[in-house]
Amino acid sequence: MNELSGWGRFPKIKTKELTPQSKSELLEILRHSESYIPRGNGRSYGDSAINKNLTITMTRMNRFLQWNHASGELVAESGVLIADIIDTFLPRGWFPYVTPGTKFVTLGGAIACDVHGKNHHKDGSFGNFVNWIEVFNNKNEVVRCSPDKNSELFHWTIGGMGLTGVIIRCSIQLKKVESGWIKQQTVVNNNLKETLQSFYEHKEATYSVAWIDCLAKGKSFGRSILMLGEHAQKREIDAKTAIYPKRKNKKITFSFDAPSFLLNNFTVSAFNKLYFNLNKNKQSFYVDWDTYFYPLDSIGDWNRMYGKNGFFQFQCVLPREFSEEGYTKILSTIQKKSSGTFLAVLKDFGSGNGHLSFPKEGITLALDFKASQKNIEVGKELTDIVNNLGGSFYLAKDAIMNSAQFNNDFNKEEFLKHRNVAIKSEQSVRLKL
Amino acid sequence: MSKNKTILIIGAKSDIALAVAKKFASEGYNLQLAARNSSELDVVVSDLKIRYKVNVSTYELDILKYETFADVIDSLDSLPDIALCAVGILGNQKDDEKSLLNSSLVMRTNYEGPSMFLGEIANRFEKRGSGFIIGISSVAGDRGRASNYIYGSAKSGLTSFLSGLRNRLHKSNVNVLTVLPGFVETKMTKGLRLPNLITASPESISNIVYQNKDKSKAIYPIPWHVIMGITRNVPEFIFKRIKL
Repeated sequence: MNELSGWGRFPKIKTKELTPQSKSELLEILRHSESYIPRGNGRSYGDSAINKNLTITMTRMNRFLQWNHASGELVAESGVLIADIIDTFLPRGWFPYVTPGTKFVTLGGAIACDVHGKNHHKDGSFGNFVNWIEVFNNKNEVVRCSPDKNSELFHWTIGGMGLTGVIIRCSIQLKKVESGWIKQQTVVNNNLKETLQSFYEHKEATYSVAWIDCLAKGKSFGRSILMLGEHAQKREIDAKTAIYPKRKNKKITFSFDAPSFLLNNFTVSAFNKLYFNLNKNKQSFYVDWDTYFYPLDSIGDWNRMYGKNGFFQFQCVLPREFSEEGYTKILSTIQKKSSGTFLAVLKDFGSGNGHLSFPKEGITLALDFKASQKNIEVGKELTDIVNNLGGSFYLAKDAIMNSAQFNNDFNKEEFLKHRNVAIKSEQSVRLKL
Repeated sequence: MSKNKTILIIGAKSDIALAVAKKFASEGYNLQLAARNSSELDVVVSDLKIRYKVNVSTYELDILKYETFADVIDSLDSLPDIALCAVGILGNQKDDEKSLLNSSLVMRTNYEGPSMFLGEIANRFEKRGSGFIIGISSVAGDRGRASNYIYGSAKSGLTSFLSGLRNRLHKSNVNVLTVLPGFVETKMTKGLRLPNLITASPESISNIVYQNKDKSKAIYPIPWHVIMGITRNVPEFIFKRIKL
């Protein structure tokens, strides 16, 4: 028995873990198991990739199978990491179309969570660049599904949290890039209204994300720094600089759990002020891909920063028309309850993929909370605010909702037709999915 | 980059062999992978080719069929610069000591097959006047222990064979490296409880192999030279009373 948790290290659950190395070994396990969940690299935050009975970790099925250098189509096993893809294909001029805030996610996890990146408003989510998926479905068969073939299974598998079947292999489309550098521009927004407005003003930017100071009060309430980015062209890079820089070494690693008193309202507030002031005078500059897309990856095991009890994330999306009202309520609630968070990130979404996939037209907010009884209560309060305004929740983050609170808009009857009932996570049981 | 050089890896499906294949491919070596049921390597082959842009060829080899060795070597697309053998089975001491058939399988797979294959390769290297031979043996061969002396004795034989080969080829510009790992976390040791602090990963073994690829000696990954130094020197009257 192993103790497993998501990236938030909350909750921690004892389970049997198997790590198959080949497709035949995997199928042998699947055909003889009555209750299990597949797991990627454990970067979803809560309990969506843990089953008490059996958790099947896919990270050793991590081989590239086919590569077409002319078209940028990659066929690979589902345990391949985005980091592997960048290490291998960026030097050849290709980059993932969509990437989340860590490069240590597997392809299977990226599809199951239909992850999004800073370009969602322009390009949509990860599923938009998946050509086909090979799934072990609810009839115990290995089938290939795509937008043209077994299309319903395909659409329910994208964002389906692994519940339609184990993703074994897939084909994805990479994006041609001229360099591994990003031209970054920062825009200072002095309050929430300006923040929301600035997404609209900069909607032509390829990448955009706002870091929001959720503890600022009064006329600075909702102040933020919007970070825009464009892939730099080859001619913008000076001759002495590597066009495709390699990934950065980790700067520091948390090799122990930080004492829990370290994170309090004072330190969080000080951090936020400092971060705001450090960034507000930067305007336009070039950064390497690793620093731009994955700032937290440079801190090894940063999830230990929240102490041994771990933390949870809260991420919702609100329809555009209710964003100002909703986020005013949410930030006020956090301030009132003194539940400060280091990482508060705001991002606008374009239209989504429907089905169980999380992103949909609107504005999304992601917050970290140290796992404590008080913060869980705050999280529940925020959940009610979102539900009252017709918002949705990101299952890759959730660790605390109950089935009554989970009101994402999807056709459950249709979903159940494609559901593989042997697959259960602690989350799917909790949310009655 | 050592472009165009080739390494032959025997027993290529083992975890140590796969880690070695990745390490050498990442340094630009072309790979020749030999194993039983070598078609199971297809996925690995496509991965190595895509990832490292090197040539990878596979060869069918049953280490128990020594009569095929010469033909397998003749069929290689070229005589490699380096030949590494990672063939081995752990067996199950308790069962094997009651079965001559099982004992024979463990002895032949760990000693007879690898030694004879590398011996045949050595003759070719000697004729050419260059080459590097790398054998993965085990610390289990340093002293027979009740818990795994069948496996250990076969590894002991392999270690002695490589030592003699090194001695013989000293003047022929052919080097022989013996790698003596302790516990390594692999398919072979799956299910065994290994002490964390002295258990290595296949990747760390492959790095050690790469760094020492042109040496002609026997090496222990740290800290096994210390552990085995002590183990070898415990007086027999004490040793036989210890449960190891």
